[in-house]
Amino acid sequence: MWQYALKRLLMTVPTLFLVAVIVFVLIRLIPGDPAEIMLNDLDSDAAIADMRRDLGLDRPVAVQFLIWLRNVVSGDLGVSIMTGVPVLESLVSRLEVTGVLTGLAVTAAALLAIPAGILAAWRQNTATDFAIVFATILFLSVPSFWLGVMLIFLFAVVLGWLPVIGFVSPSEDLAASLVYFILPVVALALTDMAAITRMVRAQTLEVLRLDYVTHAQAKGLSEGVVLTRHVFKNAFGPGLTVIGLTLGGLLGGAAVTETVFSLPGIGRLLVDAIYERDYPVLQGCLLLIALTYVLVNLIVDLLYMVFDPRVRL
Amino acid sequence: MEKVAGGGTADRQRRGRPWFLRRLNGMAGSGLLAVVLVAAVFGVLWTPYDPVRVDFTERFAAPSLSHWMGTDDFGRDVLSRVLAGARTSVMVSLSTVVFAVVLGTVIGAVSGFFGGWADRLVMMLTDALLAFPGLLLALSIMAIAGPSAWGIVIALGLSYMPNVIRLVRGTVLSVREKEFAEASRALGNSAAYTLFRHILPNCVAPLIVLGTMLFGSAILAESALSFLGLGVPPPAPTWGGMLSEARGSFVQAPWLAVFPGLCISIALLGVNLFGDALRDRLDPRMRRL
Repeated sequence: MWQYALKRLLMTVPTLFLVAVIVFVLIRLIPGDPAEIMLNDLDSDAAIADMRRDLGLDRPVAVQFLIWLRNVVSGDLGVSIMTGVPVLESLVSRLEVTGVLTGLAVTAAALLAIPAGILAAWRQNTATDFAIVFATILFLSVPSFWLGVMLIFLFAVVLGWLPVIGFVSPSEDLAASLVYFILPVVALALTDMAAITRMVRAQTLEVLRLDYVTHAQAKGLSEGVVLTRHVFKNAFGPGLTVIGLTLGGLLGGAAVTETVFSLPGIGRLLVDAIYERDYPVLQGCLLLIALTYVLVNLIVDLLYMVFDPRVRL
Repeated sequence: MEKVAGGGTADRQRRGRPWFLRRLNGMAGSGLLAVVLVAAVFGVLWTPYDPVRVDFTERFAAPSLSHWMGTDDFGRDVLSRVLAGARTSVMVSLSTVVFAVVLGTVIGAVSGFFGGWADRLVMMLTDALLAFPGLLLALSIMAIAGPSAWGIVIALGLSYMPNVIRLVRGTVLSVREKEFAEASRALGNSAAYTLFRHILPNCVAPLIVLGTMLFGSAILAESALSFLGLGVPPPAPTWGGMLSEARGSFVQAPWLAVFPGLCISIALLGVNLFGDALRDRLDPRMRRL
């Protein structure tokens, strides 16, 4: 077991290295000389040459990459071209919103999707099953940003129950903050709830036809006991994997949701960095999101091992 | 898979949905998809008004007989823009899928068939590309390339390609050692002939299923990118771009936000239903579900 855990842990190292290479290459592919972008047009050629030397741009690309990698690993992500604030600092300050948003969305989605998926599988080919399957297809077809706009219109503009747009930090005033998070979480969670439900349903159907389930039923155990003790335990692992992937998808999709609801999170930072051509910030966001995604998948795989001892590599 | 005789429970699980519902799924899906494709063709050939013509005497007109879906803040006819948007969406998404599937199949097939260091490199690269969740990779490529239709095709195509490569490589690996592939090699056929004539046809069915799913993802991603202003640049109408423009004025003109979003949902619903039916039909592993 520990051997598997160690192996899985070591496997992330080359992935993270390649992620760093891809981000480095992407940023270098941007047309234009970084030194000229950072200085303005009035600066002399000599100043630009100085800047190039300061940034290490006159060194070979491989050397540039190694210097860059050393800085990144030690937490030096550079400073924003627009504001001059260290990138790491702005990432940390934005982390809370995105963390709360995706955390709440994943929790809500999983809590609703797992029972729904098991119920649909258990009642396969009944009206309940069809209703759940139809609802999942419908939810998967509504883009979260449209749903967000429609929710704002209905609950904030027409009914006036919730504030239109705004934000209060959870650490300042938890209750007020939650009010602002309701609509974004609903908009974000619905699609993923549908995806998790379908996965859990498929997995439960797979488990339901195994012999030991028939055996448990034949022993005269109640349906409830069979579902929770025999079926749920075995359908849980793959469900966990989808939840991990979902969390990553939410991080990638946060850019859109945070734009719709004007939330100051990592996604909004990323989109603004693209608009303002603030490449150090863009690079920092990319690295942070990819790193989080790789780590989440690592944790999910390790948890999978705890829940399902059959897993070995 | 179907011929397998099973006991009571297994048999009950394998039966799947009743035929009429399975057909209903497929019929509803193809119907909605046909509506979207017809709209896309209309978007090319004929729209009631010029989708980009500005008419300030007709600003914010509510839906009526002359403007079925109303007009926007520039007095442009929303129905015409929705039809033109269908054209953009379908063309971009279709090109994306073709790009990802063609290039991904070639890379996946060569990598799986010949193996070796090239295969290991390809696998490591796809793993690393898959570490960028959702729209992230496409967003960063668009940031470099700047907004344009071809930019989206390349950005989305590159982010979908790892899925295609993995699917094709996996199928090729599992089929490569089968007797018929060995027989083809034993007959003296070239590696390329064996690969294209005998091995790759096994990838067609799963590729069609994956391609349909990717088409849906591409429609969604294209509108999300356009919504963020990183898609097809204005004044070309896109569903996502229209939705984004509507955000400023949807309190006084809700139809501006309702119709483009409804179009995206209808298109996605069609693709999802159609994809489900297709998978039931083509992918025997999923048939019992």
